[in-house]
Amino acid sequence: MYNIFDIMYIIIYFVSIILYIKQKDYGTMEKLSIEEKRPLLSLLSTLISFVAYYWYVSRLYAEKTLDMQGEIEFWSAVILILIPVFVVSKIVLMILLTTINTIITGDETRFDKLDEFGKIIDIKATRNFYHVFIVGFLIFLSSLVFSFNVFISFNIILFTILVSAIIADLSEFYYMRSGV
Amino acid sequence: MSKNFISSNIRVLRFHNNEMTQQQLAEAVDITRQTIVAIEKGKYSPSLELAFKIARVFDKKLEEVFTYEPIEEKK
Repeated sequence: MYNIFDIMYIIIYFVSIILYIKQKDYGTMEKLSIEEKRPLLSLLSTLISFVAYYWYVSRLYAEKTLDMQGEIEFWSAVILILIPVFVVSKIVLMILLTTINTIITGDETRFDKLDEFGKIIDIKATRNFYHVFIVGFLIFLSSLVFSFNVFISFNIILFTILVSAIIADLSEFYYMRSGV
Repeated sequence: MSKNFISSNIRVLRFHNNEMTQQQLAEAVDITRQTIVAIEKGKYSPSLELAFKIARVFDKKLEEVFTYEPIEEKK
């Protein structure tokens, strides 16, 4: 079983890889810019916070014996709490990265700074988020119509949120590289 | 992906302006370096306001920095 220090080590390892990732670009090796790192790190924070949260929720669920009404209330609360978990994890990540980046490079640019190019990309990424989310939500409604298990139905919406968030981060990275 | 018909000669102008870096230009017009990179590579068409700001940095007219070249699409 992993303890908290192992998890912290893994997180720091991946963050350092992304911060110093290098790739080929027009024949020259150059670092990813802050704007390109941001969606990758956001993706990482989404995955870490979701896995940690889902692991915690699964343990809690296994300990309880719930009737139909209790299960609906439990999973509804899980989804409601997931959203602030994502928001808080991203805020904490941006503060940490800005601080780490400032200490290492001396550059005081905020990781969440957006100019007009960044705003257009943000809007397009959010649009993609909603497209995926709507599809997942329709599947969730269909599962309720066809009387699926409450556990399966609510897990569909839970994983829809995760996939939508991943799509949003990947789209942001894609638009940042390929332009709009 | 929409086609960008606006091209710029920012790279040349930077070179003739004491080899100004992308970061320096970005700071002068209050945007990120990533946006300058995208404009130079023709991956992003800047807003009219930003285009005027960039032209002003080089003390040039807008037409001397940006050119509009529509490409006839095949029917």
